[in-house]
Amino acid sequence: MIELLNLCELAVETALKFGADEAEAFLTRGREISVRAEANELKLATSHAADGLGIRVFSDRALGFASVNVFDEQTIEETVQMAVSLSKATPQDEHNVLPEPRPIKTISGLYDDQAQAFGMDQAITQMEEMLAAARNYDSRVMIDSALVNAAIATHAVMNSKGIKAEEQRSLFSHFIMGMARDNEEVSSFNHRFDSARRASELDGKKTAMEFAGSVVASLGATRGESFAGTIILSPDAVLELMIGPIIWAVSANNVQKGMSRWAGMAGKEVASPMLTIEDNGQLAGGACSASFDREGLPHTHLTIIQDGVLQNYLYNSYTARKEGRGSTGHASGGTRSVPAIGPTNLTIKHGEQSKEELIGEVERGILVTRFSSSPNPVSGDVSGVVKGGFLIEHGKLTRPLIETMFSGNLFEFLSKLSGLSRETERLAFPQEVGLVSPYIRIDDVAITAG
Amino acid sequence: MHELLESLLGEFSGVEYGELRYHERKGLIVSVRQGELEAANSTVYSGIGVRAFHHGGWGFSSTSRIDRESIKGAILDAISGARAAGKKEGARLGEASLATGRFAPEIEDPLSAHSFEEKLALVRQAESKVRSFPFIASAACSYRENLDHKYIYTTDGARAEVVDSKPEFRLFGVAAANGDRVEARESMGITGGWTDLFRKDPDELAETVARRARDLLGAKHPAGERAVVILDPGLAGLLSHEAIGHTVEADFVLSGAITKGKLGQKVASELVTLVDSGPSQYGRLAGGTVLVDDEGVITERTEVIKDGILKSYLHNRESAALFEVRSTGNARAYEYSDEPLIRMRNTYIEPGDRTLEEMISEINEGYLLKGAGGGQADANAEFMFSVQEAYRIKDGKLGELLRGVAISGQAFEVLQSVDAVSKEFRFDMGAGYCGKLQMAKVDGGGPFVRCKAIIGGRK
Repeated sequence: MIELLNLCELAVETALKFGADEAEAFLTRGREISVRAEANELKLATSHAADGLGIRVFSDRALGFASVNVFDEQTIEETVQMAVSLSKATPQDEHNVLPEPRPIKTISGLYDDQAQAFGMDQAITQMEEMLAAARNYDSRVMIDSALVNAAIATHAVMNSKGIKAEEQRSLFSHFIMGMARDNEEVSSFNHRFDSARRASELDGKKTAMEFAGSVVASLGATRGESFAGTIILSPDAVLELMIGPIIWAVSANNVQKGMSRWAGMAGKEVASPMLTIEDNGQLAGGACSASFDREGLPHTHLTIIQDGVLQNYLYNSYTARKEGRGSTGHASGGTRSVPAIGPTNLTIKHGEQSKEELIGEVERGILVTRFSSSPNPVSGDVSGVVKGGFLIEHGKLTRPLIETMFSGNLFEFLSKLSGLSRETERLAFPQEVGLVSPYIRIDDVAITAG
Repeated sequence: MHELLESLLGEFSGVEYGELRYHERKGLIVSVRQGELEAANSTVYSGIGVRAFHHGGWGFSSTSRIDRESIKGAILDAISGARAAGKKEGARLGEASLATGRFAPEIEDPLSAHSFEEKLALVRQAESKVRSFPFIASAACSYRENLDHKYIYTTDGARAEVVDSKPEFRLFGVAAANGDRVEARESMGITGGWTDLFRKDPDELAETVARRARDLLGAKHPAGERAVVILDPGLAGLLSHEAIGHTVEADFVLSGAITKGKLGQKVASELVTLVDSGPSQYGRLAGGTVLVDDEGVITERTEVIKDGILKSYLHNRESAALFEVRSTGNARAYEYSDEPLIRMRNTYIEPGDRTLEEMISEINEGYLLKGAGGGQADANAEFMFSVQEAYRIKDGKLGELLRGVAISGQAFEVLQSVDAVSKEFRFDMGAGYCGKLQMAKVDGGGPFVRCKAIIGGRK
């Protein structure tokens, strides 16, 4: 086992030797096994190394960055040299300063002691259980693809200001996707996924049965009607529709560069008082938790929106320095690019009513279980197709829908919330964002039928 | 490399097929936003992806260490993976035109002949040009290049060296007024060199982006309805790729996509011939051009739909055997550590014989839709994608500009409704990537296509 911090140190020292004023090395060394099924059958078993080293340097406050996946001394030296030479050609920026170290508290539950022992045989057994659970649910279920994945990675970061941190994490995840087919009728695609730091926290059978239930329920879907009505978003639809634009709007880089609708709105009301959103990168055992961020600073537990009032933007050290404040520990990204800004484990605070009560109060509307759209994060404009949905009439779900669209502005939707469910679901998309969300009801939305 | 790979092919024992794919990718990204440099990233990722096939199962492993022992270890991992996954005796791989020799696109002005300083200066200049317009609140520009070098060796005879060069250029502007903001974007991506990429002047492109953002800011939203629309070449490409192309990828067909069992049937208007091609056509080298796929197969021009009739699925060697056809050369892996999957290349509708002016003049009420945004589609060919600009057409005349919308429909129904196809053709998705477990560089395009689709509106 190569000492990762020694490699980081070599990279940082080499950069200073070549004339950089400041240098940072971020290194990942990982091993991953996965099993994939295609067309209802076990298809592929893979094992591979996921290695990378990213070197960021500042010379006269000008940026250079280079990345490589081969770790011998000569290659590291050449890569550092590339980063330094880029920094000699780029413009100066007074905010190009690496962060100073902060105390790091180790977050528990990020590594499963059983991870090393988790082998291909176990992954194959889990896959076979998932496939069987989905197929046995209903013979019309068609599995397009399914994945079982186990990864162990060690991340190390060091900079010339004294930051030095290393952590080993494990991540287990699975995914199943497909449709239901009843003679000539093909339902919409649907998928379910989950991920966790410990293998024992994942339940493949449950995920597979939820997937199977959702595609079978969408059979027999018919076109909707055009009206202005209420939509109720499932946690999945919340993730698809709302999270991207909200995170875009609170990322300090977008705020500072005129690309956020919420620039200048800190301390002001941006949503219904029902809405509270937190981000907690220090959550013990959280799929998106870590003891330190991409720059080696501790993550934080941050309130983004409290009772509809915007509380905090997300900062990395570059954007924080511009405002003369500290990073919130939201530097994100891997070894191939300079640190960006990203969320960790998000929670939308649940409400008091049950999901059934939320539906029961709707005269005419749609329960949206899956939504396909490309929300525009700058304007908030959204227009998309309900891929999984049910018509609600007089407080009851009456039939599944296809070819039904709704449109509007996401930031306006946020002020038209009329209820959040007591029930929440946890969605953890590997490496990206974790979300705990209730069902969310929004009034007065333009719905278009085909 | 040749000797090393050749000598290691003998290590695949106890399996039916083995494949060694060395892939080095040198990448550069330069990105400027609001006058600030956000990225000056140089990356080099290289290694060997190893695949084995046995009794219908695949094993895949990869290593970034290019020495005999490490590669042997990866081969053993791949063999044991294939033996664990393989349960079907008699499964085989299909016939294919296996590549031998060196394959490289013809490039007159290689990217390596242009310095980092020149690339940075061009990006800064274009970004500042967008921002120079008083109504622009925010601007961004980026340049990206991927230079690939591969060796693909298989136990049954492929011995290919493949070189590739794919640059991209993107521009983005946001116009803002009265708390409202709207964006516009333009992008270009090709297979080739510097001059080929910048056939359009970046300064003119910057002006286009800025003025479009301004015009969209003042535009109204259309009402939602099913309408007669004209898709521009980019949207025709997106429809071909997202909504049709994915449903004819043989792995999707096998798992029950709507095209299953429909070969030989009429699935579109007879005006529609839809192609997915590895080689490029129509002038420049399109961004999704692939000369040899990642199973070492020489790619072909595949007619998916010919005059409205479904003719072919898109195959790798395994699906080709199941369908008793030859591989179409659609097996692609993004990097050395990715296994080849069935992916598209350049996907487009062939041009027709009409002019855009004629097509507009025959519409009583409808829309001209321009500028493909993101898109998604389903196994049942139901699609949704966003469109930057919608121009109203009334009584055969082009009218006011409306805010971008999403359009949707069932793609085969949309293709059945096609009643006019223009002579004018272009590729317009060359800066695009397709995501299916891993990324792939693809392109798409077409003529202007008149059809019926659903527009998602505000009323």
